[in-house]
Amino acid sequence: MLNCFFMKRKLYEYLDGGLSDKQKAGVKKHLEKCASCSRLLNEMKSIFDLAPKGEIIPSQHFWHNFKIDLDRKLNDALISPLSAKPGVGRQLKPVLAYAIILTLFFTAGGYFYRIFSSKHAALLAEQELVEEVLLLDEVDSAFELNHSEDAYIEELDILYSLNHA
Amino acid sequence: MVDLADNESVLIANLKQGERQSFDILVNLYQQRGLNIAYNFLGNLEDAKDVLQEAFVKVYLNIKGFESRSKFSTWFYRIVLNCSLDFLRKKKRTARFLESLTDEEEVKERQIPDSKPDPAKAAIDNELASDLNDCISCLPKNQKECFVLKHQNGLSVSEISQVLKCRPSTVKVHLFRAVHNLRKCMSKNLSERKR
Repeated sequence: MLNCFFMKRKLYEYLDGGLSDKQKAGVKKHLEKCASCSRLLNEMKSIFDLAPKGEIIPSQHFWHNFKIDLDRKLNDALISPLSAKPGVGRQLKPVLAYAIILTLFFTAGGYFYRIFSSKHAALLAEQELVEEVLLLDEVDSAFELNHSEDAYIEELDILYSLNHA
Repeated sequence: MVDLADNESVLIANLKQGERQSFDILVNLYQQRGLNIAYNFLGNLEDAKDVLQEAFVKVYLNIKGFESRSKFSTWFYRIVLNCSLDFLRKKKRTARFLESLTDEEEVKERQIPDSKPDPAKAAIDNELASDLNDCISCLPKNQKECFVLKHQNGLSVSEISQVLKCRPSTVKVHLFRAVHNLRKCMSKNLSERKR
């Protein structure tokens, strides 16, 4: 069984004449005893015999027209600028892709920066105002000043407007 | 007597300078061989002609990239094979191969010579050859390339290994597997032939 496994792999070269004399004798000896490998060899030989061989021989007229068409195609290829440098088009595509991605990246980055930076500035302004109001309250209470209600309302309005800007 | 290889290297050197006459001579030298490879791969004369022309145009445009480390023939056969594969990928026409067998001129070239005394047997052989061509067209790419180059174009294993840029042992494996697959594909038809 194991012998057949190795022999089958030798059958192609046996038919093709690629084995040494010693190897050929070994295969031949095995084939005399093994019907399965013999049958396999015959089937392989049939395929070798059936495989179409030889040249396809067209007419002289065919080769005459072939030459004319070939000259035309070659002239077209030489005239066309892209065909002379097929790499240029291919190189442009990744460069364009990178340029588009970078542009989108910076645009998006700038947009989000503006949004967050304005919110941050508003937050800071709000905090400053709150601190100032608290300070005024402390001063008021320290000096017992009559801080008018209107001033409070005005400050609250400013705070409200900043918060909702 | 001038060595053919020296002649060819002179032609290639001139072609690298853009000399059209050298290109025409190279075309004459390799057109038949190239047509055989393309035709055995594609099964259609018209397609083989288009592929061969495309291959020669590529040779002319890319000759400066050819280094004389390998033979021009192996480089050219590789281009023909690649063009054939590209053609098949684009067209995906194995059916066209079947249609091409009805063309009278091509059928003449494909028929097995009727030297046998039994015409009925010859007719069966022709039919089996047709079935085998169908099976060959269904082989995986590597196996098909190796089988077509070896059995239909007469290249040696070492030549095929140079064309396909692989080791000779790899070529042998592909050939073995190709024959194994063809045998499976043909098993029914072969048993009918034996009756």
